[in-house]
Amino acid sequence: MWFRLAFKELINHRGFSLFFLANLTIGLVGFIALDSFKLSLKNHIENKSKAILAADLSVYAARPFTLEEETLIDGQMPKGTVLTKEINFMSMIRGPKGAKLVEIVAVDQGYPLYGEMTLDGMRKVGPKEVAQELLNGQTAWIQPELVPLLGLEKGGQVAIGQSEFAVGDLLLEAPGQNFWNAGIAYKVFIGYNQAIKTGLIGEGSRRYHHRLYKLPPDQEAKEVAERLQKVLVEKYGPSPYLYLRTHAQANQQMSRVLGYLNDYLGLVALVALFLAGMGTAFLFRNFLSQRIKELAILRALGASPLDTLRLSLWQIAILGAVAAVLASSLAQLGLPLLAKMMVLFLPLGFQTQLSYQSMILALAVGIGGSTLFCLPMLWGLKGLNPKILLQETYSVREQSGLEAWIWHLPVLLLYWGLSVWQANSIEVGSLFMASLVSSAVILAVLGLLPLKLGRAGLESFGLRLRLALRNLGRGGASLVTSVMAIGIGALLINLIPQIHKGLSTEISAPESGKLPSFFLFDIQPEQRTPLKVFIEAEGYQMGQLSAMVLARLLEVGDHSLTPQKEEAQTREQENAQWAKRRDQNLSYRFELYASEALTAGVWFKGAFDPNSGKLPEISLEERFATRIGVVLGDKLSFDVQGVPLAGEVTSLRRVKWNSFEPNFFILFQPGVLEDAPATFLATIPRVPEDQKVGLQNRLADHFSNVSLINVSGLIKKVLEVAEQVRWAIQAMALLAVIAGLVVVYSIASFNAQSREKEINLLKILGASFADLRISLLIEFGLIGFFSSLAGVILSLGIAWGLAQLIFERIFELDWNVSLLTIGLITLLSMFTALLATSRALAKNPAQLLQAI
Amino acid sequence: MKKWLLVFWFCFPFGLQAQTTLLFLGDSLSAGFGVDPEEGYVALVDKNLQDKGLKIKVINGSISGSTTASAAGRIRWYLKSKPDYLFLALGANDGLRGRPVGEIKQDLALAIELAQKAGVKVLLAGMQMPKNLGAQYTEDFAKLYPDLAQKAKLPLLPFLLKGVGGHPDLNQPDGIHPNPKGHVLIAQLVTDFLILHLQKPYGP
Repeated sequence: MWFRLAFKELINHRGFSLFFLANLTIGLVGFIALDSFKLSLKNHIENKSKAILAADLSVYAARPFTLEEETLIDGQMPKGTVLTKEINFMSMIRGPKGAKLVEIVAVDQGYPLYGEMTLDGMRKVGPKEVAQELLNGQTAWIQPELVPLLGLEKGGQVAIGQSEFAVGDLLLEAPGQNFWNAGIAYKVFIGYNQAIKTGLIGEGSRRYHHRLYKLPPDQEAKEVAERLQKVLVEKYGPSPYLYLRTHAQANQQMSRVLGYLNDYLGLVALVALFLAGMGTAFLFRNFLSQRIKELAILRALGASPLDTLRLSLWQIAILGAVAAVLASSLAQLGLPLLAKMMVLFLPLGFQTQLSYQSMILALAVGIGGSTLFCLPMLWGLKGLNPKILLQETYSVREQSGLEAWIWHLPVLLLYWGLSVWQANSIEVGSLFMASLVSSAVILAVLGLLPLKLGRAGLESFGLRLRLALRNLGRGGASLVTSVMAIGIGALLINLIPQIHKGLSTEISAPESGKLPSFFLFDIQPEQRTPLKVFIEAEGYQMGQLSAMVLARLLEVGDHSLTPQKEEAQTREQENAQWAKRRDQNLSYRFELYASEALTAGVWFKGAFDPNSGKLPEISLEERFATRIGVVLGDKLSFDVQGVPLAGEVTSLRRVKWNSFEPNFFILFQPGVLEDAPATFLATIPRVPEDQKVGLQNRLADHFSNVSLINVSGLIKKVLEVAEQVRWAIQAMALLAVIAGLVVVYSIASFNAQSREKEINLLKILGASFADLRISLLIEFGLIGFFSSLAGVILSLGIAWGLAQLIFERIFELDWNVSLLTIGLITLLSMFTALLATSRALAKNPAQLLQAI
Repeated sequence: MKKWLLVFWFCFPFGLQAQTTLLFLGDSLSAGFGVDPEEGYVALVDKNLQDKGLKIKVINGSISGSTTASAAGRIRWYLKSKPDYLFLALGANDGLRGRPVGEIKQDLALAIELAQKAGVKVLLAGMQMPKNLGAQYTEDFAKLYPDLAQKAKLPLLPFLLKGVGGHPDLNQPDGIHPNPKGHVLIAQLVTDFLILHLQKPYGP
């Protein structure tokens, strides 16, 4: 019966129901979509890293395995494990045109355990083709770049050690292999036994023998590796000659990047959910206030306080369940979109199916979360007495002070649990929660202060302003809650774009046209001019020639740097140790690059004058300066290959590292290091794709010591990924903003409606329609303005703090968003107030008198 | 301040001729890649020589990753300080990158010539390439050091990594760079070689 009644009431209050559903659904959509996305991402990272290692687990050594070792290792593998072997080594191979250093990859039966190899014409091949073509004959698959270098063609002969191989096909990609750095040594795949017969492997050879294992699906590589490591240590002692590597270790970089993104998205989802929770609570309070007399009638008709509670609980449960179903369906639609945005992360196929756990979670959070958010109001129903039917006004009793905190505790606990779960860390989750709670308190103070102070100073103003300020002055707990809620809304709305700004600044990069095609390393001083002439004769330009002088950092200020032997425990310690490692590359130049911006101090004042009586000037990258604990004016002492050299830090720079310009942490004033032994870096921009191999080969012929890396392919990939990440983040931020605006509307609407009777009273007392409307607008405008101002100020503080802690000090203020947030919330607050009270304003005071 | 600057800028510590100066010019093997500075063989040689009562100032001008192409430029820098001896140990990176042996030889010859013209006595450390690079290349590479030593009449340490290269227990996991144990052996080899070739009055 109570269910039917609850359902009927919800149908009767369609406006409330729809609003409540929309609000909760928005919050849940982001949360569920991200939950499913996180699961899919975890699977994806695992798949990806398996393909990167081409195995679940690899055991390798710089010598052949002994039979005893092989038996011991294989014996530790679970039943159903598949094994393949691989040997890697460098060798000079010879074709008709000459010899070239290559990396030989000798593979055995079963390779590749994961993924596929790509041959000429995008032909995808696997273990079957490897067995047929590489293991049954003298065939080699070579990278296409080797064709012109060795004067080879498909079917041509290449000499590897004592053996001759026919070039069977051209190899474009293979799992477990990095192809981007192939500029130094291209890859050649041959059969395992064929490699042994080349005579290149044996005593005095430098090579790696790998045993690659594919574990049964139910086995965790990490556990097997730990077990195996233990057995190996027991048998051979802590010997470092046999190395273990799991797919996760092989892919730590990828895992870190995705983990970082995942945490960020999780944070945004929590924000959206919290806003939705606040919105539902306010909507429900509003709903209860409207229905309080109906509930009292029910009590008068014999319903117990528990029955009224049951009715409300049913209503929340119904709305929560419908919202969860709606959110799940929407998330189902949204996930492929999210996956599409992230498509470059997901080359191995991404499962966007909504997980079973996500559905359960949606129901639990939808029903449980809403109930807990509404708990303080629900509890107020227990004291509902039918006699209120005889009173003019009555509102739902809410607790104040300590009692209020106790009734808010369950929802805080729930949210804390979700935060910990999302952040995957008790520390981070708790910090997030603590920040939110302390923000609420700070907001109440920040937002209420001007409202209260303003009252005293503005008493002498006109009726409209006085009315508004008096109302504000009277507002007790309700005003505090409004200020807190609108403030938190503003804080969250503004916070995400502020962090987003920092994050996109970090990942955005220049247009592809401005990026180099090649990076040149190890250019000797006397090669600078000939190399420039050569490159220009080829029809290209050599750019950004930068000296690189190796030096040891000896002292920071007056503190000598001692090598640190202890292992870094945290990322921060690791960074500090890395920054203080003593070998540093110094450079010098007169001008800042486009990718740099001075953040403190002044740029070099021309070349160093040894007679100036001053130390040479030094410019440091700002994050590097922080890591080594250096500020402007500090002295740094170096040993430049035997020569002591000190300088004073006179400027700090922010460097956009992904500009792919030759940037340095430490720049000296020109006129100091010019005579020091240096090698040079340079870039060659805009080389058409089809001319790269030719230029690369001709350069190697003329300047054999100069290493040349084709970076544009790599950069392109990085940029595409960065762009996808940016889109994903923007989409999530938008979700938080929408959720935030819905909350603001709910709050303003509640506040305005609670004024209905008061407005009518004022009318009776002679206040004009315009007076009332304007005073109402002033009142809600002031609440909206000061609350959102406080929220924005606090959010900027938090964004700055987060930038220092998480986003590596990248903080760029987005004034537009901040001003827009304040403006929009103030206007929204005024508009909603007007909308919500329009009925009351339009009413004839006589109606009120009749009601009395 | 001006005085201080002059001292700091022009008086290189090894420029003071109160004692003999020995300059090591090498790559990561001599720079002590992957081990603490005091565990590298150059630091150990310094200690060995001090222990034997030799007043020799050792300077390590080695840079990880450097090739023979940088040798001449680096020597020009150090010549300002007038070292007495140069222990030249470069070429491993060139070989591992498969640079043509003729070019490596040319770079080293230029460096030797520069040093000798400045009156610096050059001691040459030889390198060998692992067998996997192919018979032709490893043979050509192995010959280059004796050829240079003979032509320029230099004392030659035939193989810097003798007894260390190719022994997993004496090398770091990369199989290229010696571990602290490996550096101790290299230091002993180099110390013996230096004591044999450093002329009186610097010798024992």
